[in-house]
Amino acid sequence: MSVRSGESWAQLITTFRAGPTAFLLAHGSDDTFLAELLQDLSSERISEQTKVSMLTLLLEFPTLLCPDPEVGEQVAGSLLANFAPLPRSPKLSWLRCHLLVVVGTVLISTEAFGEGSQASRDYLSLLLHLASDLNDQRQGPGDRGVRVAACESLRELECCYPGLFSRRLDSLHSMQQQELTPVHQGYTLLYSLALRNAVLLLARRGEGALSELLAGNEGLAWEAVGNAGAVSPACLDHLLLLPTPSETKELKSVLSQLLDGSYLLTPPAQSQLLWHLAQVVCVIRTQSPAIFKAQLVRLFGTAHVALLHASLQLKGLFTDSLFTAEDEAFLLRRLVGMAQHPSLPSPLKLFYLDCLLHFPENRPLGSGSEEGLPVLLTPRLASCLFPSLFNDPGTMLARLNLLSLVCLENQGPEAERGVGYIFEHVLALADPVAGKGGREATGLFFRAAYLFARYFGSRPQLMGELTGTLVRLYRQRCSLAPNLINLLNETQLVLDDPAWPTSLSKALQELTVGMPLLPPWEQELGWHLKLLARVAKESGVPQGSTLGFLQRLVRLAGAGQLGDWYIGQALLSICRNLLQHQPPPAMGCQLAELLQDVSLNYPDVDVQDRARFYYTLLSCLSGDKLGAVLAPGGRLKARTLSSSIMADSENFAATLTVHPAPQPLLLLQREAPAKPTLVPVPASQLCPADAQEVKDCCRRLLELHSPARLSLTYRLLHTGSSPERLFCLLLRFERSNNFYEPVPDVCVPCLSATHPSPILTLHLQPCCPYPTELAVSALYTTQTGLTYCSQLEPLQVAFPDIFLPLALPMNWDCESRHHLFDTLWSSLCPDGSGDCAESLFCWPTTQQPLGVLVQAHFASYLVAEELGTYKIAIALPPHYHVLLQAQGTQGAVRVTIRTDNWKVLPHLSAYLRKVVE
Amino acid sequence: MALRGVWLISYEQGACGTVLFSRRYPTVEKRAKAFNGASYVTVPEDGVFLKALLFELKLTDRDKNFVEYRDSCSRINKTSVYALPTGGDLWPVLAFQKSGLIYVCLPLVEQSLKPRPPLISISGISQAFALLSGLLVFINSSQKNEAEMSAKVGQLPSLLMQACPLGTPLDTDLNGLLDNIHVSTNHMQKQPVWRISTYKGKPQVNVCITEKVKSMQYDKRDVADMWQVYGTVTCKCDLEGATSNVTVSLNLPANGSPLQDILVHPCVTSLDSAILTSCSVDVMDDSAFSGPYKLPFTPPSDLFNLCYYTSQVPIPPILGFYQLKEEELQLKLTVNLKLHESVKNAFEYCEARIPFFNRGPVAHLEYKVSYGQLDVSREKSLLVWVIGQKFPKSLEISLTGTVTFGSMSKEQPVDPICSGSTAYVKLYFRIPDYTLTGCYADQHSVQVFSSGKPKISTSRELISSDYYIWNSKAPAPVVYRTLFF
Repeated sequence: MSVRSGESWAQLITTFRAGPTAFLLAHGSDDTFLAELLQDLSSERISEQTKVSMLTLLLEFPTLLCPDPEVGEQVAGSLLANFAPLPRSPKLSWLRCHLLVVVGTVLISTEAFGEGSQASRDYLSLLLHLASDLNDQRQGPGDRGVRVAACESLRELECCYPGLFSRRLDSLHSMQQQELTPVHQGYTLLYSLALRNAVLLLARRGEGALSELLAGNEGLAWEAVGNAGAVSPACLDHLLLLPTPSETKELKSVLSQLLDGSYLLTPPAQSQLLWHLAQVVCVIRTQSPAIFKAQLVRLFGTAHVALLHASLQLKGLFTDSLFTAEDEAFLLRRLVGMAQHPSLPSPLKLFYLDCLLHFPENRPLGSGSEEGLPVLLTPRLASCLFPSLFNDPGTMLARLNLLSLVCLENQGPEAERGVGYIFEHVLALADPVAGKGGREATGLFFRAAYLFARYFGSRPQLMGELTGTLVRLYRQRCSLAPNLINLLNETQLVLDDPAWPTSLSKALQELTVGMPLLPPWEQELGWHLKLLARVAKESGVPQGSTLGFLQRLVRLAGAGQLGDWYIGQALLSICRNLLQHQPPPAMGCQLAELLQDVSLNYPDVDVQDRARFYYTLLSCLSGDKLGAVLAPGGRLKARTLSSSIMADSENFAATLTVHPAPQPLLLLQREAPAKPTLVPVPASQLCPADAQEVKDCCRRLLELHSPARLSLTYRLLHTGSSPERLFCLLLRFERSNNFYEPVPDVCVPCLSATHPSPILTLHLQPCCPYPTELAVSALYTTQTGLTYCSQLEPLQVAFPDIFLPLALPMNWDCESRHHLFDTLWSSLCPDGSGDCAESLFCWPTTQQPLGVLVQAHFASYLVAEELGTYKIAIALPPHYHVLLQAQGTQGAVRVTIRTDNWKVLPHLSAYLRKVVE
Repeated sequence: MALRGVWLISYEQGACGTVLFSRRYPTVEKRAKAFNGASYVTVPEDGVFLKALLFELKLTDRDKNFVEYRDSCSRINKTSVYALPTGGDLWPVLAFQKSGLIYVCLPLVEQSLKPRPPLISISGISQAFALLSGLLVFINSSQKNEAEMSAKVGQLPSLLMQACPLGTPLDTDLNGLLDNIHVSTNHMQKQPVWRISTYKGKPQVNVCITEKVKSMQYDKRDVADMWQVYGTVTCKCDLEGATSNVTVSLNLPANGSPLQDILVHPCVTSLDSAILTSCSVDVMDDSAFSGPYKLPFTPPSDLFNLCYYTSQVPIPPILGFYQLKEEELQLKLTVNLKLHESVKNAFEYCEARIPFFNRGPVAHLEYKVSYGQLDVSREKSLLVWVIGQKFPKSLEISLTGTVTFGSMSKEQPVDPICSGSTAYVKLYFRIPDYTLTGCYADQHSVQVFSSGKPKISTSRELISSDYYIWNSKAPAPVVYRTLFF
């Protein structure tokens, strides 16, 4: 491979970033790109700047480039080897920083990090060595950036593996104390995090002394690698430590020293420090939270969001043990002030508004996760948060929401006046909608109206006025019909008493049926009919006037003045809703008449046909049945799909759409592979084979023929609690890599609890003999006629799953088989040029005798056995082979391996290791 | 307290967006997987992310009138935090939009995402806010053309590598990281992290108080007029030595208005709680603390905002009324402005702009001004009354006139609020060396603890911002509501 130019790399990096997966697929999924990247990183012909940008690929996409820990380990090793010879010149310090950060990222994210990994041990000792250069004494200030990166990398390790440095707290602390240059921030964050993790883990373990922890000066706690995710703020409530007074004193001096220096850190670092220490104090019950008191004034006055948030978090954690009632009132007033401070950007003000709705009160009444007003937030205090027309839409709605809550939860003239003002404000938003206000203004008004209706829907007078405004708007702009329908639907969902949506429907119906029917028809009539179709669903609204309106339309149609297909369908959708939602005795007769009219007089034949169909339904079915037939998702619905196309476009869309399944219902369970039924050939029929026969057979076995495929069987199970029948089940398999040919879909006509669960056989065609994982998704239709898509647990194809026995002649005698194996063995002799390789593997002394082990795992692949030596031959599709000779020697078992594809060796040794575990 | 990814996206109306910059943090991602458990949603590749973001910000399907997922009235974003539909719901994605750019960040949530925890309980959320604010300031500071913009975007990978190398923000002031030079000095005590570069040269300290005044005047009995003052104190300290300390005291004269809602820069080392007690949400109180407001700090090397404040002053600097009546085919207008006698009558500029919306171009204008001069803008939709540097001795000026309009055309400005006779006059002015609250800082109120005697310069100014006078003869939007009279 030749070295690429910097430009060519720049281009590659851009393409890679635009679509990493696609890029790697196009580049061939094996490690060529990675190899090239690593090679050029150590090339001297590539500039530092290019190398830095090449490293960003490993920094941001390590798991794509290094699919498993082994590769991660190799990459980290190779990068460390690059780091070592780099001179410590300031010019190279940037590249060295990147290398440090990238090595850590690769080791952590590929899960290669651990005590057993050489690269991890080297990396850690390098970091600790770099970090030990306190106050630039060894390397001078030019190397400070590298030291910052080293501290940060150590911090990230501690963060990912909580407790890793828990036995070195004292040495971390002394570094933190001694460092005076601005790098002290890195040491402080590292120490405070390690302290927090150590204390939380100590509390969780429930044994050990705090003083020992603080004085710890030993090695690394490698076992922490298993702790990932173990330390979370969520578990704070259950932890506590009660150290002795002298230990508490010791801790207190550590905490005060850290807090006293906290103002020297950047705000985001300060907030981290405070949060770490707060968690420590929260767990150690003998330490009073008052230790934070000295920091509070500074935090209350800050303009920085991270610091203010830190004080709110302290408040949430310690409530009245740190914040007096006076502090609480003060903080709340401050927060209200900040939520409307003209100097702050509006996203931040919205955040503070949200904080008000989840304000950590000293004596909380609500659950905390729901929006709720703090008791101290009175209408007087909140009045400065009144929305105005000059707010951006987000701010306006957020304020409207908050103010509505305030007025709802308080009583008295102030709250009443507040409701009046809010209402006035909502109405003011309507003016731009009627005029030239665009989509934003329209959306804003309807959202404000929705909020108002949600909170004040039970106030008939105001809601009546709102209805009037909405009706006026519709009169001016018929294209608002979808917004109005949406408002009706949404308010009906949230209001306990749907009186208002009903009365709005009635008012809109009144307006619509009174509209003069004048050309141009198409646009406005379409909206009217849509709206009436929605109104027809309201059982509380008398529909006589709607029918009258429709009759007028049909008469016009009969007279040839209108009557295209579209209008006809819209008209019929109203009829359909009437059929479904209005009890027939009330209007059966009138509706039947109308449908008959349509079926006879409407100019469009399709419309006539459907009208006739509805007429038949109406005249033949009882009310109950009619409702069931037309109900969305009803059983018959699926069958009448074609005729309901235009009846209700939303339902039609629902039937056609693939919905995500609410919960996974299906499971593929692996069936034990069928044991090959070998009919042993009677010894009498065995015969020897001559040398030529053996040679031919060996050639036949090794030559390329049509690649073998794997067949894996699974049972498809229904895991739902109430197994319903599923139809047209289609299972799709998606490969996680290119090791296999695409797997064809599998179709199951019906899955039902009453039938035995079906057995599916998957045929896999490997391109490379590696284990893999297949993502499985299922597409199915339920009894209600809706189609769902659901994700199943991925299928694991393990390495032994791809083993196939060699097609050996059945009737050869033992000696010939030995001979055959030996011939195979020598043909796979590694000659240095091909892919053949030989390897050795040792099983330690095991409980089981070797024979039992072989019978248990390799029976189907055993070619010959002689004097405790087992000769095993395995075919790996598409056309590779593995030969094993296992021999027990001095308590251990020696397995000699030959293969014609050396890349399978790691998988094979992993498997062999597993066999004896 | 970490971030899973940061994105900078350019978006122009009607076009699809482009990812200008993105950075993801795989080690944080690994923690997210562990913390979020079953509710974990992976961060998709940039293309998918962009699509989902534009969808969620309601920037797709612009040609369609009503689309339920976008326009439904129950979809209300009360914060700038979004859930992106990318397979699962990727949450909490923080996104700001500003001048054609979208700043996006995804903080780590250290618990399950179902049910969604309140934002206040997510430690990373404020870090995300801080980093995006820093990014926003960096991109918008002195950036004029496309080349400068792309140069800035080009600097982002290296800046983010310093500010947030492994997903945990270490610093959010990106401008401060630009000239990050490490200097060798003998440190006797710990240095503040933000004071990195050192200045060589003549020591000087510059303090500037900028007050802005907003006003909404209606000249109506039932609607209260509103005015509000808010100030920013900016500082630039060019001092040698890494540990110099400065104290700035803001003073008020005897009749000054107390400063409220004071927010200070994080470099301020300590605060007297009395400074913070006054809050705009409280009812005004004569006993309020009225200074001096002492702010001790260790200065960063760049220009920075030392503090922000608001205040309630008893009067607006200019009180006016605007009467506009539609008579047959013409508009009759009267504008009257009066400068309060306590306000310094020495402007750098002062003008009143009278815009006309939803009408044709000005075809004919007859007017009389008692002072200054009146111009019609080139687009013929705006009258500009240039008042100049001073009000006359009477401090009161007026304008009367009649305007007729041509027929409405596409080029004329449209405004949803100003329909019918709803109209306003907007004032633009700047008064140097003056503040409405009276707040000032002088030579004596800046103390510098550092070697050498620095040159201290102080200045102040009052600038109008959103200063509206509404037509009192028509309905006007009310912005200020008090529940108490």
